[in-house]
This record gives sequence, structure tokens and C-alpha cells, in this order.
Amino acid sequence: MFKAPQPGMRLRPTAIILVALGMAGAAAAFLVSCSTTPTAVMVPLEIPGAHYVGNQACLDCHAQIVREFPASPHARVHFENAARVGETGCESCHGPGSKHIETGGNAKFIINPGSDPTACFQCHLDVQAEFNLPQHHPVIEGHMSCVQCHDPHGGDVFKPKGGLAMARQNESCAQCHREQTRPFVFEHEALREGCTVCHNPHGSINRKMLVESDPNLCLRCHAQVQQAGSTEIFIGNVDHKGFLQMGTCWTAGCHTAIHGSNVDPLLRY
Amino acid sequence: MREIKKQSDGCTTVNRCSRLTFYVSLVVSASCISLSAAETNSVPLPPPATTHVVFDRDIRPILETSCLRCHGGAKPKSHFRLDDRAAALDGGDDSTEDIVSGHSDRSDLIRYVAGLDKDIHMPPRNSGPPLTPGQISLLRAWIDQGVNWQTTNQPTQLAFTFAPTLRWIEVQGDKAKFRELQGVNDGFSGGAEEFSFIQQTSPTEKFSLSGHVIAPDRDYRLKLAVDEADQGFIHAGFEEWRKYYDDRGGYDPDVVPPELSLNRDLYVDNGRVWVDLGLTLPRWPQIVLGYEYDFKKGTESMLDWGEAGGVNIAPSTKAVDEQTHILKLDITHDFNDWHLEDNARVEFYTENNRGDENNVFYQVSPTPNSGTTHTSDNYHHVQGMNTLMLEKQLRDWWFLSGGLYYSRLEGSDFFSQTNSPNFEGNDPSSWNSDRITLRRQSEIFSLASIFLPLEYLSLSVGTQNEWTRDEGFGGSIPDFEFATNNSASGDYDEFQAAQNADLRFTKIPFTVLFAEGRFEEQSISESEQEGSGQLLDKTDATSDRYNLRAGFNTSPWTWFEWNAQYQRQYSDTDYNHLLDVFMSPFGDPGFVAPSNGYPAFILNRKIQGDGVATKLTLRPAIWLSTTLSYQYTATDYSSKTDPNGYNGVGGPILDGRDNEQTWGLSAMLTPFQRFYFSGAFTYSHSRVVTADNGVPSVVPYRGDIYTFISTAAYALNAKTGLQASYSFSYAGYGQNNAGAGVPLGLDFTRHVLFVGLTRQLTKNLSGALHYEFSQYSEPSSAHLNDFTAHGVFATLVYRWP
Repeated sequence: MFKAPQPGMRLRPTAIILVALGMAGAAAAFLVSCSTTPTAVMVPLEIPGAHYVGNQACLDCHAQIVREFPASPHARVHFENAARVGETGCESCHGPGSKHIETGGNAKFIINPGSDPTACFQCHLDVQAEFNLPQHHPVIEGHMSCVQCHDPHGGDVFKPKGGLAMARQNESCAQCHREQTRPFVFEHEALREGCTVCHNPHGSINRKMLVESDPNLCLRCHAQVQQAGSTEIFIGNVDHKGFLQMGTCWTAGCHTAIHGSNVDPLLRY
Repeated sequence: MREIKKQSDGCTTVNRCSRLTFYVSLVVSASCISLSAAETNSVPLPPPATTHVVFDRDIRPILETSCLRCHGGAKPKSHFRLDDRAAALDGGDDSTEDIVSGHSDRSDLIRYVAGLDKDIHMPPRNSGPPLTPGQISLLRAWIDQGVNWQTTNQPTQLAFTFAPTLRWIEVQGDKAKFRELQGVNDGFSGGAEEFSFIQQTSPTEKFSLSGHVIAPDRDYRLKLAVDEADQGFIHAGFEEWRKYYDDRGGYDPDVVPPELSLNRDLYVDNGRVWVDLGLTLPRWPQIVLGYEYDFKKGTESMLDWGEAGGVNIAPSTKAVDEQTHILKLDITHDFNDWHLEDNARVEFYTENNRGDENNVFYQVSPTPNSGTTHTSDNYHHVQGMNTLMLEKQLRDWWFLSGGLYYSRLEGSDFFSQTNSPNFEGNDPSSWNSDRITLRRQSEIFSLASIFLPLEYLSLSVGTQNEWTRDEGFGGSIPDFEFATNNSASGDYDEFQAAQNADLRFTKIPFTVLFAEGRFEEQSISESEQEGSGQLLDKTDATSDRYNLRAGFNTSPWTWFEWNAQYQRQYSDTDYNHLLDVFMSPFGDPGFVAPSNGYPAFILNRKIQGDGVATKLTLRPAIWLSTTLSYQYTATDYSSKTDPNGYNGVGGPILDGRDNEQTWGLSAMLTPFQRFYFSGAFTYSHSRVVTADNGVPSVVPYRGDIYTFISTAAYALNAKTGLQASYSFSYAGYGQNNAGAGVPLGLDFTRHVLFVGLTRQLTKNLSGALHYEFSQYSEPSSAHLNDFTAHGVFATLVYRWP
């Protein structure tokens, strides 16, 4: 796989880099597959023996995607006349495409971010960090992929793939979390504003991937009724000061049916 | 995609060039047309070669060099394939006489390659050089001699991979926490890290079986695919993975004493099985009929109310049993530049989940937590949904897309709760509902266009209208305040109109400017009822929301790229409470009826957020790339309320304020031969403050998170490589409020070190040996959740050929 340098032999920088990058790719594959811990790493999108061919070549077979792509937020970083030719557009995420085309579209010779988040992490550093927090969706473990929830080519990245339509509320989450997104007799209005009001779907330090682990999460929206000189927290007609000493609004055993209830308008069961 | 012009000479070009280039192109195109015409007129059709044609020697190189790029593989252009004799003789979309065996003079293929057709020229001029007269002569002779194709019966192509693996992990400390965070069990495990069997039986037929099996962690993945190009496919698979939970419900073990630990291995298995049958006949719609079965089964740890060390919070469990059967039918068709896609689904979902917790009403000393409460939902629904999408490139500069979505859900639920013993400490008491009916219906219509009026300008606009109605009701539902069963219902109607616009401008050299906006107007009508007047609530709400974003991306030099953007989000909702009666014993004093109770006391709510983000990428040398990023967001939540029933004044209040900053730095370098390193460091600081009236149990949620992720690789020689990775994360969100409540923050430090050796043992066999060290430390829980783990992994990989 790697050729040892001979005395007096000088490898060209390109060759050196290709060797090192290939090695890094192999290392990353092992790190992700064998490790107990998700350790997805930044690996450049190299395909041995392939070179950049430009977006025009992709159009021949992927016309539908190319037609929709100008509406995608990813098109913001796509421009034909960039100095970094070949690294904007399709190949910036899918890697150099020459061998893919030469082999009639062989999937072995193109990078598919749908099965490996490495391409996405090149730009989304903050998301990569979130996926390395203790509580996260199992994307870097390979049980989920970015494109299950995001459409990288269409008009709205906050939904699974499917044209230029906008995302329906909680559409991505409802694919798996039916218990939480099904209808209830008594609903929690927060779900109308979206699951991400309370959860960070990439990862969090808190259980259930909550954005916060204490009552501040609820108090942001559940307004207090103002009282002059009071040291109580009235939410509606109920003073919650004592309840808030017991824990969070949901873990203290009170509003445990936090996504909705069929029996209790206060979402306690 | 900007402009696709099939020129009169058959050239296909895509231009995103400047105006000057455009005029130059016109001149060149005119010349091209003239030359083409001249060539067509002056160069006669080459005669067939007089020699006996040998396919592998004479024809196959021509096809591979000039044709198969487009007319081979899984999706040949115009459904015309030249990698199979029978398919080639069938012809493509444009002609069934592309190749007429024995008659090269009647074969369209020859006309195209010889430039005799005024519309179609093969290969297209921008896709490769034209065939030489000699090559055309050979093709003519090949057709005249019967389209001999010796490689039709070429040997089957086979690829095989098998990677058995063994691992051993030793954990000291909290093993349940280790399982939850690392996602694997300790001790021995093994299986196949990867296996695959791929057989290409012909250019159009392929069989593949691949997967991954690790036991006893139940980490399985199996995929089967049988593909016959231009006929159909069978794709099937099975996957399952296990999510582990700690045995304290994730709560602070310093507060929840060890004797209340659940002392169980808790996990939920998640999985799915699917099979798709596809029909992919040329010129027919692609039809896929599929079935999918999703499941979740196991037990997870939770927290619930229960006496624990002087506070009312204790670990509990939730038994999860969810099953979903999905039937699906997908139809995709391209015709006359239209693209049609219809996805129909019928979903049968069953949920039999049960919460098991301490009986909060039976906390009798000296045996607190001896009573139990079981709360069950036996829920089932059938949901049918259909999405229809239609798209067309109307003009070179105008792409139109429209969609319809319809969904209807019919469900039922049976709720039950058993308290053992009952409130008085006697025999168990049960609360059971009769059938609870739940319905949801949604209709969505969307229309969107992409306009490319100028070569440097793109505009995407869209509108989407949604209507949703939810209703739920039951004749006999437990009412816990009044210790009886009552009727209850909830109705909810929502209409939402949304519009979006996205503008992209690229006239400034090496730069993209963009701006986008999304606007939503929402109207909601909601009513809830319980019993004969215990709850009567009717509220109308109207919301206006927008989300604006603008920024740029520039890359004037190959070593430099910089982007930045600003974003504003705004939401303003007015509530009109038409009816508001809520009798509850939890109000003070006692029952309040009628009331401005809960939730009908918020009159207005506003959310306003601002954010900036920027990223700078520098590549000062070919061996070094660095990225620096920064994000800042700030969001204010404010409300206006009614006064409460007895001593409140109501009015506006700033409920909460979020702000968060995130810094990122990454580097990728290859400073010398055979060595590669990449690393990414991220630091974030966030702070959430809500109005707390000085209540000491509610403190700001604030802290810092640091993460560092790195990997390095070094090639010792041609056969041996070394790899290492290290990741570190730290969170400091501890809260020192134990005196006033329970500490809800979290401090932890986590290290993971991974070193490995890979070696190519033979041409087909390689091996890998890895060691991993991980350490987790949680000072905020008095280190009771800490663990240290060592793992050794050995993997062999056999690949053939």
C-alpha cells in the first residue's frame, strides 16, 4: 500500500500528501468501526486516483438534484468562479468525481455523506463537537445518518429529502419518535414550535438531549404572573416555588407526560 | 445547470460565464456551426472496414473510451446502453434503430458518430473528441458483420470481504454509566466488523449481500440487494442496535442514594426490517412497493416522584414496546421534462409502554418507596399519507416545483394506572379509561420556483399553506383532581401560511452574497373540556413569525476562504381566551372557578433572537489547512399575562434570556512524508437566565464546554501503519444550590485515547490491533458516576480479489 522511500529518492509533494491522506482515510475507517467510542475524525475527501471534474459532469446523470440545488442553503458556498476550483459545488461534499464517471457511476468511487458524516463535519465543526458529547443521536456510530433528518440538496435542510417544499413541523423527528409526536387529548403547545425548542438533536451534556437540565428550560416560556414584592413564582394561579425545589418540572414527578396527555390537562400522567 | 443549450450543431454547453465570455461564445458558436456544416458537407461517411472485426480488440476500446461514460452503468443516458448486446440492439429513447444489425447504413449510431445528424452528435463535443474515420469504419463493419459481442459471456465478477473481530473491555467504576455513554457492553464481544459478497453476473445484473454483526451488544446490520438494470430490483435489510441507560435515571447519585439504584442492566433495542421491490422498466414510471417494520423494545431509566434522601425525586423505569408496520408505494416518472414523484404510506403503530415508579401517596416510614405505581398506555393508530410532487424546467431560467400532502390518522388509547397499595395503604387501586379516540388530519399545498434571470443571480421563492386538525375525546377518562372518571376532549385547528425567498448574487469576483427570508402567519383555534365544567377552555391564537438571514462567502485566493452571516428570528403570538374555566385543587386558596387559571393566562408571547456566524479557512501551504469559526446567538423570551386569581398584577415580563458563543479551531496537516494529523477544538459558553423572583432553587443555567478531537496516522513502511486518536471533552455546568433545592447542573471530564497498528499480511489479508483507554470523571456527583476503561480490539480483514 505504501512504498518505502529509496535512498536519494524524493517523492513529489502531491504523492506524499496522497499517501498520507489515504493512510488517514484508512485510519479513520478503523477508528470509527473498531472503537467503542465515537471518534469520527476530519479526513479530507480523497478518492485514490480520482480528480475534480466540475459540476457540469454531474448534471449528465443527476439533473434533478442539480436543478433543485440553487434553492439549497448549501448553494451559498457554491460558485463556479471560486479560486478553489473543484472544491466548490458537488465535489466539495462528494469528493473528486472522475473515477465515478469513468466507471459509469460506480458508487465505490464517490463519497456518500449519506452514510458517512465526515464530509458534513468538514464545515460543521460545531455539530461534530455536539455529536461527541455524552448524549447524542448515534450518527458517528453509524446507526443514523445526517440525511435522515436533513436534505442537503433541496430548499430546506430541516427536513428529509424531497424537493423544494418547506419542512413540516417536527417532520424529521416524527419518523422515529411516534410516541412523542402523536396526537393527544391535551397537548403541550411547545410541540407546535418544534422539538428543538427543548432538545438539541445533535447532542448535549444532558439526558434526553435537552438543551438545559433545570427549570429554566420551562420558565423561558411558562410566564410568571407578576406580583409586587413577591418572592414566589406564580404560574397561573399556582405558586411553584416549593415544587421547583424538588427538581425540574418533569423529573420531580409532576409534569411527566411532557409531550402530551390523554387524561390530564396539566400533563402529569 | 444555469443554461443547458442544445445547439443546432448538436453541442451541449453549460455557461455561467461573464457577459464578455458570452459574446465570445457567440462568435465561437457561430464558427462552430460553420465548421460543423462544412465538415458535414465535406467529409463523407467512411466506408465499413474490410477486415474481420474482433470485438475485444477493435470495438470494446472505442466504446470504453467514448461511449460507456454515459451509456453504461446503472442509469444510461436516454436508456441506451452499450455494455450489453441485447440492450444495445433494443435502442434508446430517441430511436429503436440505433443499431440495426447487418445495416450500418441504417443505424442511427453511425449517423451520430459521423456527425450526419443535425441535432445529435456523439460523443457530445464537450464530452470528448469525435471518433476518427478509422474508428467509424470499424463500427460500421462491426454492425454489418452482425454486432459480434464476444464478451457477452464474460466471466462473472466477484468481490468478497470478511472481517472477523474480537474485543475485550475492562471497566472499573460505574459500569452502567460506561454502557450508557460508550454504547457498548464491557467484557468479551465479537463478530464480523464487516462482511460483503458482491457478484456482478452481467453488465446489467448485480447481487450484493453486506453487513455487520457484533454480539452480545446486538449491533446488527444486514443488507441484500439484487439489481437488474432496466428491469427492477429487490432491496432488503435488517438492522438493530442497543441503547443503554444507567440505573439511576441519570440523576445525581449524591442526592439519590445508592440503595435506590435500580440495579438492573437497562437498555432499549431499536431496529427495523425492510424490503423494497422496484420496477425500473425503461420509459415506464419507476414503481417501488415496500414494507418496513420498526421496533423499540426494552426498559429505560427515568426519574419520578419518590422519597429519596429528603427530596421527592427517585429513579424509576419505563418499559418500552413500540411496533410499527409500514406499507409504502413510491412512483417516480420523468416525461417531457416533467418530474413526477408520488409517495404513499400506510402506517400501523402500536405502543404498549408502561411507567413503573414509586407510589408517591404511600411514603410511610420506615419503608419509603415500598409502594409502586404502574401507568400504562395501550395505544394504536393507523395513518395514511400521500405526498405528490411535480417539477418542471419551464425555461432555462425557470424551474417550477409543486407539491400536495395529505395525511389522516385514526387512533385509540386505553390508559390505566395501578397504585399499590392505595392512598390509604390498603389494597391496590386502579384507574382505567374507556376507549380514547384520537384523530389528526393534515393538508399541505406548496409551490416553489427557482429563477435564474441573470448569470450571476438566482432567486428561489416559495409558498406553503398547511391546515391541521387534531381531535381527541373519551367518555370515561380518569380525573385525578376529583377522583372520578369524566368525559374529556381536546380540539385543535391550525392554519399556517408560509412564504420564503432566497437570493444569491455572484457578480463580485470570487464571492457569493446571499439573503433569505421566511415568513409565517399562523392561526390556531383550540378548545379543551373535562367533566361537566371542571375544565372549559377555548383560545384563539394568531402568530406572525419571520426568520431572516444574510451573508457572504468569498475565496479570492486558493489559500483563503471566508464566510459570515447574520440571522434574526422573531415570533409574536396573541392569545384571545374566549372561555376559561378550570377547577383545580392545586390553586390557592382551593378550588377556583371560574378562573384565569392555566394555561389561559398568557395574553401575548414574543421571541426574538439574533445571531452571527463567521468562518475563516486558510491554506498557507499545501500541507496545512486551518479553519477558525465563531458563532454568537442571543434570544429574548417575553410575555404578557393576566393577573392571577388573588394577588397578582400581571402585565409584561421578560421571561428569559439565552446567549451562547461557540469558538472552533481546526487544522489538518501533513508536515512530512507518511504523516497525517487533523484536530478540531471547540469551546462554547452558554447562559440561560429566567425570571426567578429571587427564588434560590432557580439559578442561571450557565457553563462552558470544551471539546478536542484529533487523529494522526503514520506509515512505518509499505505494509505497516500506525494510527492514534485522542478526544477530550469537559463541561462545567455545576450548580451550587443544594441548600435550596436539588443540584441540577453537571460537571464532567472525559478522555478517550486510541492507538492502533494495521499491517498488510498478504495480498488479500490485513490485520489490525488497537487499544483504547477511556476515562470519565463527574465531580458534580461526588465521582460516583466515574469510570475508567481499557479495551483491546483485534480485527482481520480478508478482501478478494
